[in-house]
Amino acid sequence: MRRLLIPLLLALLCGCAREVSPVSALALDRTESGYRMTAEVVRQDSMDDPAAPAYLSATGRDLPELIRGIENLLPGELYLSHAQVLLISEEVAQDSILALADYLCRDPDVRLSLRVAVVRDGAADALMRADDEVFALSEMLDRAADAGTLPDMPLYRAAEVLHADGTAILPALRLDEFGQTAPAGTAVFANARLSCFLDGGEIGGRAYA
Amino acid sequence: MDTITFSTDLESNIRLMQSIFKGDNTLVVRRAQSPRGLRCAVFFFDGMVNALAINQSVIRPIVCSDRKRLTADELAQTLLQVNDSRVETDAGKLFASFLYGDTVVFTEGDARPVVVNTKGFSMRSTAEPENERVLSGPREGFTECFMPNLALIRRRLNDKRLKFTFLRIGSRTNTVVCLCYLDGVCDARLVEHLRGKLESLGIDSVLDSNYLAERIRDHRLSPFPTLGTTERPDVVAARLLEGRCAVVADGSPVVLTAPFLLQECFQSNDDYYISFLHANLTRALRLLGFLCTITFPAVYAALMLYHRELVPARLLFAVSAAQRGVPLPIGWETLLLLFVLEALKEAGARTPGAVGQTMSIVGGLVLGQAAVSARFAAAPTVIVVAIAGVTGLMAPKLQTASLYLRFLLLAAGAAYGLYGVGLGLALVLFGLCRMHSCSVPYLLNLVPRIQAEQEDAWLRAPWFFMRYDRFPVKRDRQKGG
Amino acid sequence: MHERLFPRWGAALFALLPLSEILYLPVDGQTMYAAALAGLLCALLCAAGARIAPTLRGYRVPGWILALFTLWPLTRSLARMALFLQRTAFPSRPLWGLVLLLTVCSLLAASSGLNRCAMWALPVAWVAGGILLLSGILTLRDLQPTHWQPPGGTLAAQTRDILSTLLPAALTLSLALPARLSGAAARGLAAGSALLALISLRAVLLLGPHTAALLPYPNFSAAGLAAIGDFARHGEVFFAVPLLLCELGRTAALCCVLLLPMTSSYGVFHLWKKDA
Repeated sequence: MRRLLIPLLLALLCGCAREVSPVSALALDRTESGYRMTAEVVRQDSMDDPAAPAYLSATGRDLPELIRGIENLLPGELYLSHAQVLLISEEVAQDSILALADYLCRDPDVRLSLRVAVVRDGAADALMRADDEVFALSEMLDRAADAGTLPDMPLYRAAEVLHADGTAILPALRLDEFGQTAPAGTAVFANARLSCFLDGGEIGGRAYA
Repeated sequence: MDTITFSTDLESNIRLMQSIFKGDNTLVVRRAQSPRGLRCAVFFFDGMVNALAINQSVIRPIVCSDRKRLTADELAQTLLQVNDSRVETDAGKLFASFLYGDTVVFTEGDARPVVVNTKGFSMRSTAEPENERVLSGPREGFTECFMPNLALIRRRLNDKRLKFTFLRIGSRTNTVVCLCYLDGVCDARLVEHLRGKLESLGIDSVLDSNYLAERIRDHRLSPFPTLGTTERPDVVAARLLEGRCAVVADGSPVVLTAPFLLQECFQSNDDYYISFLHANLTRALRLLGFLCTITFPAVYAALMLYHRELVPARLLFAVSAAQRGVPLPIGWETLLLLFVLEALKEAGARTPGAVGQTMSIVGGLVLGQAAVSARFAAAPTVIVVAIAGVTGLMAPKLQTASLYLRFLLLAAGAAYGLYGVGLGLALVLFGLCRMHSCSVPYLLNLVPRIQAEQEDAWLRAPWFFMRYDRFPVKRDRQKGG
Repeated sequence: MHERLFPRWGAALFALLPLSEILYLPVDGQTMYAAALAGLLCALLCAAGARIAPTLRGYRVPGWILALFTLWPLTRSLARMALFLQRTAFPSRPLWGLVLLLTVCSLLAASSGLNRCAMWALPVAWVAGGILLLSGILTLRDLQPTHWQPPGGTLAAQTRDILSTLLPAALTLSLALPARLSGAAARGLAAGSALLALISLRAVLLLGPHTAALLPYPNFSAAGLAAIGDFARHGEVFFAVPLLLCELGRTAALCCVLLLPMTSSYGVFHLWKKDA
């Protein structure tokens, strides 16, 4: 039996990694016919070069279709495990986000610590493209959550409160007058839909969560 | 050997000896005669004897003797001026001694030969063994000479309970093998067990102790050693004090000790000659080094193939960038580099002296750099393989096990990710649980654990806590599991 | 001289049984209580089973019945392990291939005998326990005590569910023990169940009962939130590997019981072999 096991293992040594296209952030916007998803895919051509973002967009009626659409644009595998931020536009947030939260929670690739933020006064896609540095958005949200200036509401907590009573708060972001990403208060959800925004330090992060 | 009968006639004895060793030009026959008419024949092998001792203690007394005739007993007891001479009537023993450097003396009128200890072959010095160097502590090492080796052990253990039991093994080489133990400290069953194994060996030659080791060890096919080997007399003495048994083979500087447990693979000679604080740290490092050398390539392949989510994002981007353009899948790439590493090690070890070292270093650096530049291999893979190679040197007694497990776990990791590595390690642990050395569980002090015997197991207690008045591997003490 | 199955080894082997439930256990607010209750019941029943085990050894028919009964928990364990691996790590691998691999590994391990499985279980139980504790400590900061719920209506159903998977394996094993190790069996099951309850509590306090109910493997997913800096984020696999090994120990021990009527010993070898 042992003799059989070793060739079996050796035969499987050829396990081959497909070209990976890690996603660092996702943006979801509403379109007339459905949704548009934009993925910030990280490219690094050599060890000496810095990681640079590339943006891929696809339209569809639901999340599986959107993800399939983006995957079709790539030579390799769309890799969501390193995605740290999902930006949703106000229009998307005004629909129920419960299904979105459930889908993301159930997807084994998506991190439960993924941060979801609502983009005020503009498209989520535009805000994501505004910053050239990879993971800048997620680092900003982490810092703000630690400082208590924005709600500390990763995906698993958001899903929990949405399921519990449909009320949740999510951090809000916007592009300021210089075209830079800036915190924009807190998005309040009731019945899993965007209800209103609270500005400034009206609601802290961790304490509320 | 055919029955050989000597006669009382000296000339016929000389002819008989010459006929037995016909064709052997190293045989020297020296006829010695005293002025009064005492006639003797002295036989020895050139190069095997101390010529001065023969001249002064054997030949001079004969030629200066005032006796006309002597019996073999008188020759041995009153005439020859040597510390060790005897009348030997057993032809087998006679030839064994003669072939081993003793001198045989026949006297006219007596058919019984006298054997005189005149061994005097050249031996190298008891220099420190190359592969068991210590930073501090004794620097003597065993040589290929049997009796001096035993003397090195006895010098350290001036105990009347120290026993050296001789056996002769090998129908052609007739090699002397010595079983050493401390009577009353070593379990009598262990001595009998080893003696039985050695006596039942039906082999024709023993040129090194490894000839015996591979035959008498338990779990002969396992890459984990179940017999200890050392070239240091202080190590043998320590093992004897712990109730173990040692096997010394003539012609080999390597002494075998039994039983040998896994914990000993992580012990070093230096551990006992430096501060216990430092010794324990390095011992823990050796254990980590072993785990690292067997799992590092496998974990790397598993992470990059199946569990990329575990790799920090920026590191993943860098490694993915390095992998771009490399033609082989990660599993094969790592395997190939491991082969290159082993080839370099082997070439370095087989090439003499400084050239070998230079070749290893230059080969490693140049080949590694060239392989990365040519996109033949990715730089992270080279780093992983280099770390596996370096950490593999930390537990030299487990080098064979490291080599095999590294490849096996790499295959498991490339096939089934970290789950494969985990399953592989679990099966290795199952294998280790099954193993024993001379009926002592191989994992003793891990499972089963013996509370009273943890002083020098995985960690070394300070000397003021250490006792050597008991048998640490006694089976009766397996309490508590 | 015969080798003994030491009580500590026996306890470790029994501790693996509840530990191997951790990966698959659906979690809600009642799971912690259910796990503790089921563990307690199991410990009591298995202690009784272990007491009568030596009496059963003399009869062939109970041995065969026990062996045939073992097929149920054994196949269930193999199937859920393979399914877990396929869903979480190897979606493109055929299920039968994974079942085959795990069966081969279990048989290889079982070939050492029940005694060696128990010996093996001791370090594995320590490693698994250590990793569970480490995982718990790393997520301590993120726990939300507000998610805690008092015992409620679904407790009985949850307890029944846990017992349906834990009890067949535990009882079979306790009835097949070569010696009267009722105390060890009870201790092991109690310790394992305590860890099971604590880890379920961690999952509820971390994820919340609703999110935990969404996930196919909530304890596994909750472990993914334990990270050291930027290292091992999404590191559920570090948590899952030792638990999978616990399940391997369980299947190996069950294989030993399955093979029991066909072998002359419990895999308890003689220290001094005949050829020695």
